[in-house]
Amino acid sequence: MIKKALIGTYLIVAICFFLSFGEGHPVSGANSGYMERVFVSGYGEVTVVDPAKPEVVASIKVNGPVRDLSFTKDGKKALALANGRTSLYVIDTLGNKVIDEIKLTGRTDNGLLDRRVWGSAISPDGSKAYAFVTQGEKRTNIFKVLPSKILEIDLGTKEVVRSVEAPYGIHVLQWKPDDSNTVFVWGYDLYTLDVKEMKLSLLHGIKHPQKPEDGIGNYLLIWPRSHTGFNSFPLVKSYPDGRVTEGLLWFNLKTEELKTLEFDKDPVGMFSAAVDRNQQYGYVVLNHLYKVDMKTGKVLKDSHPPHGSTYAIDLSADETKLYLAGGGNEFIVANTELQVEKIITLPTDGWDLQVVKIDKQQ
Amino acid sequence: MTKTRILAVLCAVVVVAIIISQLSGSQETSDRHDDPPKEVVHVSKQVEKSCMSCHAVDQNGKLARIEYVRKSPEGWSQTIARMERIHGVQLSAAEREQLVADLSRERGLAPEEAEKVQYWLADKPSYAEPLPQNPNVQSSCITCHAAGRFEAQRRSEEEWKNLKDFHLVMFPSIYLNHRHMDWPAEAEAALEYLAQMYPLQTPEWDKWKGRENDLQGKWKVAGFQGTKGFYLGESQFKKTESGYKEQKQIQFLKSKASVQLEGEIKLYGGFMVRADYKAAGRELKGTYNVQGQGNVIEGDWSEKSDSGLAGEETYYKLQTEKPEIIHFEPRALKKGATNQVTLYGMNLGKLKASDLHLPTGVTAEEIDVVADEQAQLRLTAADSADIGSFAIGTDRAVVHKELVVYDKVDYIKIAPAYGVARMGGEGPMNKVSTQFVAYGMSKGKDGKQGTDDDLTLDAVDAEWSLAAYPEGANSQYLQYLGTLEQDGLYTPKAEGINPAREYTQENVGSATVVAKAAVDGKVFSAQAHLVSTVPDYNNIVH
Repeated sequence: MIKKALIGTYLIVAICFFLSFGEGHPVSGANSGYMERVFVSGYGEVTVVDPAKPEVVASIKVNGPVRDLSFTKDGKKALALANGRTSLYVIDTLGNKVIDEIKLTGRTDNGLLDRRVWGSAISPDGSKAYAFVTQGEKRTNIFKVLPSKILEIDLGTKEVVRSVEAPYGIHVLQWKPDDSNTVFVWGYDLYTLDVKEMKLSLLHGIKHPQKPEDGIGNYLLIWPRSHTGFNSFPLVKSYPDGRVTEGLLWFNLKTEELKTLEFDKDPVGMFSAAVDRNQQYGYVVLNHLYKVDMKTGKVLKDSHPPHGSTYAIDLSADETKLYLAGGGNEFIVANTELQVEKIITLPTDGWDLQVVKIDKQQ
Repeated sequence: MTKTRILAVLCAVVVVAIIISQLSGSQETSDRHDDPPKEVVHVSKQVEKSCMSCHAVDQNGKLARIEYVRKSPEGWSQTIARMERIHGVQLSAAEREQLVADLSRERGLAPEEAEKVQYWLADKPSYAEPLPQNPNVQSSCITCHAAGRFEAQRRSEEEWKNLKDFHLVMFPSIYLNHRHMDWPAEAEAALEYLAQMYPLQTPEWDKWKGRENDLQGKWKVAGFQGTKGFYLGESQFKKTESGYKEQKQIQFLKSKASVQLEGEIKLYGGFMVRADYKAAGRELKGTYNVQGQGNVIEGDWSEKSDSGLAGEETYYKLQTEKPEIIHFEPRALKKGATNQVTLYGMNLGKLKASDLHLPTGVTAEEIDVVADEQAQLRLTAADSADIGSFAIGTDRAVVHKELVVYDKVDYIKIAPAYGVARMGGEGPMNKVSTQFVAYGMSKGKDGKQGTDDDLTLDAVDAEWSLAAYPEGANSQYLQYLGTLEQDGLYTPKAEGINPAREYTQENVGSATVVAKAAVDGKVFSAQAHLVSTVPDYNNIVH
């Protein structure tokens, strides 16, 4: 009997111990294998927030508003797009400093090469960057458009190594987890880039679905999500019969399965969405703040951000909290029942936030 | 004759012909040397100085890009501003002004072309622009631009087509903003349409180019400002080195308020009158076109500090030959009634009732001349009188407005039906108010409201109020909007956040404008929509 009780107690303690170091545990504990940071794309800076406190721990200065943030697998290096979409900044996330700037404008035989980046991603190992660019040639008195492309840039030499033509509309490049050869390319539709072959292939039609009666998707992906294993965003669908709905699209980054749902409410216009790894709840924000049942599309809670339009939402690394930022100069911590717990002021207005687990190991 | 001889004679003829031709050729050459070589100037010396370093002479002997486009002074100003802002062109104010004048003269618009886009050139407040008929233009251009912007341009086919690449390079997010469509493809189709509709070469321009009106002299003025009503006045233009100076005095008929204005006038392209006025501490701009034979100037003015305070105005060249009526009121006669109509104009001492071509059923009694500029006329519209809008001038008397005959007032309407007011005054942008006016309306011959034959009668006094929009919404928010005065003038508040408002919103919002007016013993009500919104910052960039 005593032996059984001891074994039972041991098991309970062991389970508790295991859980305390698992991914689901709040990360403020000193023993977790990573450090959680939230990177807010600000104006003239990347603002680094320690969400556990919460407080601003660093401002990493760049030129102009930050439009894109991506991170290496270990989270120790970041790539920020800024400077009027013409520069990629390589950031050391442990030192909170810019370590390199890659300018993509240049010259051609006929004039200036104007390139604007609309989606960028650093490779998992931090050796390369990939950027979708629109290109134009500014000749003496006339502009000529050049094909839009995805560029592969060697971060060591800062040279464009390879490129592939890509269609208009691309706005986010996103690495497939644990796959150093595949980049998801989010445009009007979803493509994959085979990095080895530098080949772009259509994966899912969203604006151009196989069956229009399933709804034509319209979205502009500015707030990609990934750390729960899903990219997710609000999606407006229009149907041949004239119906227009608002809902969610979420995409399993490992299985490449794409799903959509429609809210049980009329469209109000939403910007970003986060989905938990169990696909149980979705959280959506702009002027409204929704908690959504992912099975039915039912809006379980319809709230509002505390101080008006808020662009970006994501779950904390342990998925116990919601983080909100963008559209103003606030970082907001709320619980998953949409109740605001803490608000801190950021140095600048913001655009997006990215929740990152930075590997503590050197 | 042998073949040899024939050949010899032919050779001699050829040789003689060559010698003669060479001699005459050298004579021509010698003559040419006597004349100084004709200097080719591309548009103007100033254009050559400021533009040729980038816009060189092309294979057609023309300045690249520039000589394949025609624009209004406002359009050229925008282009020059862009060259300064983006391409580093350095210009003094005088050089910039010279460029606009030269380009408007040499690569400008014809009067007929400018007239169609007068609302855009004058930046007429709350003007509802007709939607272009072409669906590709609607989807790929109108989503960002007023049609006036490109309809005030004429281009070669290649220059219209250049706009696609210009937009994709200059504003590459355009395809993201238009992701519901295939912008590059639809823009191409739109530009093909615009190239057909607005070509570089037109008969109107061929006829007009090189001509210029002379504004010097005295003019009569008639105008209308919403909320204040009609006014009349006199003006005199005197030529100066840079254009004209204008002295203008006007008086509002209702309030009797007088205004003295002094204007610096520029004449672009020989007919486009652009005025900068000063009037008792206020500054106004005028945008007018000389019409017809040069004896009418028509256009719009607005206050520089609030472009919503604006009016329409027409000048009539002073003449002494025959009666000319530039304004009369009331303009609308009710059937079965006698109206005392006051006529305003010139040479009215010479006017006889028989000089007017009155519609069937309308009779005039003798004219009571108050002065050469004003007369009283009793007009009776019989029960059997025709209803409609009638031109009543003849070759003996010029009448610039039409007389309306109606049977009864059926409803009232508000103009503008959709008012856009803009906050301002705190930052770089000024406020834009909205002047609402209520008009009596008659259903016309078909007896149906809202059809083309409905008759717009005179403006009526109304009680004005704002109601919540949409209907049934909580009206508490109206306190944050601007004020609607009892003369119909809506003035927005200053821009910037309002800490007192939920979410620290700015003082923006939509509302329903309500007018109530008693006309002919009946009370009528009408509604219009008001959007009180943010400053149009875009206009200080582009």
